[in-house]
This record gives sequence, C-alpha cells and structure tokens, in this order.
Amino acid sequence: MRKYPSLYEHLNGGFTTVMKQRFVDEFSGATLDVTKWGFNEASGNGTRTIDQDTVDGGYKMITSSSNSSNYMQLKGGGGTIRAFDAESSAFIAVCRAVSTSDVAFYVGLQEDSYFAADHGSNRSNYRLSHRNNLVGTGNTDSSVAIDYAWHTHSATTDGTNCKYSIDGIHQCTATGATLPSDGAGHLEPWWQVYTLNSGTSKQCSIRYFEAWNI
Amino acid sequence: MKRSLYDLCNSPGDIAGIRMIEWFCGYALNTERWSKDLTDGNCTAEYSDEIDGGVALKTGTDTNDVAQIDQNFTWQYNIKGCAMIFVAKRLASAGSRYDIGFQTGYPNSQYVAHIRNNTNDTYYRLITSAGTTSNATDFSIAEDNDFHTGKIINKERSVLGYLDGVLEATNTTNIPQEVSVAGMGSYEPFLKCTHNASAVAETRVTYLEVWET
Repeated sequence: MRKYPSLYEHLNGGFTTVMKQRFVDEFSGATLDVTKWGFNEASGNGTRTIDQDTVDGGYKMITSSSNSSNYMQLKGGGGTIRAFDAESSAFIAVCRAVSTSDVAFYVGLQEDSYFAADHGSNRSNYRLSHRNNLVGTGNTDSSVAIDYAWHTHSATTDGTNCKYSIDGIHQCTATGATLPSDGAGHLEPWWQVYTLNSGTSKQCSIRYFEAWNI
Repeated sequence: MKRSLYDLCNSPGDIAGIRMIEWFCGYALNTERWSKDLTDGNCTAEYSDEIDGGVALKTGTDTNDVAQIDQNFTWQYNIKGCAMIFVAKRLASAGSRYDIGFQTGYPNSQYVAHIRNNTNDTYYRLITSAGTTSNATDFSIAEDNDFHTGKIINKERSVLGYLDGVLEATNTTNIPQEVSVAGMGSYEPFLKCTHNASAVAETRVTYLEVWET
C-alpha cells in the first residue's frame, strides 16, 4: 500500500513542510534538455551529445583537440538564473571521467563561487573544491583514489561546513572563508569537463544531477 | 531495496493515470509544456534569478493585467478524480492575487477549482465554479506573502482545498462535477497572477505536481 500519492509527499514526509527549490535531470532522451541547461565552451570545437548507444551512458562531452586547455560546461540556469542558496543547499550527481589521462571535471553548484566534486587525472584523490569569489579558492582531499568509473558525488553546505560524500560515504568537511557565501552570489547547477594540458580530446559523462535548497 | 518512482506513488496492481511533475528550475520555462497567456507585452512568465525563484508570473501595471501559464487546451485530468500539489507565494503588492488550480476549456474557463491568495481577501480561499455560479470558501489562514504548499483534490461530488498539510475547505456545491455540459471536456492545470491596482503583481511557483486519483 502506498504511503503517499504524490512524489512531493514522499520527498517531504507529507505536505506540512514547504519544499524549497529543486532541480532534477536524468540526462535521458534524444537530446539535452535545453530548458534546464545552458552551455558554454572555451575556444575550440568540442562535441557533446546524449550517449545514444551505451547502456547507462547518460550525456557526454568531449573536449576539443585544438585547445590544450579546452573546457566545456553545462550551467543549470544558463549563467543567468541562480536559484540555489550559497549557504544552504546540496547536490548529488552520478558522473565519470571516461578518458584516462589529462582529463578533469567539476560537478556541483557554481556561479563564480562554487562547491563541487573535483576529479583530475593529474592528482591522487578526488577532492572537494570550493570557492568564494570575494576571498579565494580551497580544496579538501577525499580518501578515494582518482579513477575512471561511475561514482555518486554529493555535497551539502550551510555556509560554515561543506560536507562531501562519494558513493554515500562521507569523505571530508571543508570550512573557512573560501566556502560560498550569500554575499558572494547565489548558485546554479554545474558540470564542467576540461583538458589538462593535452592536444587530444578528452571525454567525461554524466547521467544524473539533482540540487536542492535546504 | 531499489524502488521505482512509480512504486512510490502507486499501490501494487495500480495502473497509474497520467501524472505531471514540474520543478520550475533551470534555464528557461519549458514552453513545450506550458503556454503563456499574457494580457499584454508588459506581462511575463520567466524563471527568476533569485534563491527559490521558481517561475515568476509578473503583470504590467494596467488594471486587470494577467500573467498566466497553462497547458494550451490540453485537457488530460478527470474532473471527478484528480489532484494537484504546488508551492507558491504572492509578492507584496496592493491588489494582487494568484489563482492556482484546474480549469476546463468550456466556456471561457467558467468551470474551475482553484486556491486563491488575494490581497483584497482576508483569507486564502477555495474557489469552485459551475458555469455562472461559484462558491468561495475561506481557509483559516490569512492571505500573506509567504511560500505555502497548496493541495486540491477533485472527488466525485466535492472539491477539497488544503494548505500546508491541513484540510481547510470542502466545496460540495457550485463545483464543476455537478454539471454536465456537452463539450465541457476535462481539466488542465493553470497558474494565474492578476492585479487590479496600478502596481506590478508577481507570483512565484517552485513546484507543481498533478495526477489522476
């Protein structure tokens, strides 16, 4: 017997609680949902598409080979709609790096300031990267070694503590002035793929992203 | 145990009716899902660049300006068996109101069931109409400018209105269910912001879910 008739009530244990803004994309279908995501790219001509012929493929971006530091990014607000609270929000995402060298990605909430899971094939471990654009950038390492498999990355911030988990296991907590703050601006969903000093194209993929205000 | 969204909202053996879930979040309002009904070029229906901004339905300053979104004459919900849950607020502005709920397509949306938050009323209200006759039942919650969760359930012979988990009003007369008009059709959801003063009215909606019961 179902407990609640609506998804809203399942998410909130009924509807006495007023749910805040939430963003969900499953990256499934024929094309990227452009009502959810805007796109921009550093100079180059990278390619991006729904991975149509791969089970659980999601959406892939492949950087340009003509730019040794090419980046491509999806912004869940197109850089203009920032609905997420820099001091009270969270995200969860499933993504991976596919190329196995000179490749990196961020996934999280961003708009100048950010908190995000950070993969880089030039480092030993995944890390939580965070930036307050009025102060500077910080990084906190996880204990999970860099690899090229799918993982579930999640993080939550209250403006004082930013907690990062991989595959449901808490990895680290970042604190300090380099966390995003309301004074430094609100945030939007973000997935960025980039090349680490290479003349060849690099691929990363994503198949789920969800963000919410707390 | 892994479960499906379907399993969450339906009992085993159910053949689910149609359901729509709208988060009103991202780059731009999905105009393949939503039709904009704006009385003039000063009215807008766009995502808001603010925390919990959702979709902002904003009027101009002409009296009785309307900023509305609906499903463009797509009537998929049974008048006698559907429900809606939404999160919305009305920004402070004299003479502004929102109406969120269900409307039929015949004639000129005179068969409706919706929740109203109006500066000109004392309380939130459940409004139903069966053609030329309507029924407005006050909630116990005073009109305000805060986010609330509204819920409407359309039953065989009644319409129930909730706010923040509490049943606030039940209309059993002057409801669309009590009449049968050829061509009246079924329901579509609508979200409407209106003002009747010389100021811009604005309503924010951050979630909407509609389903057959």
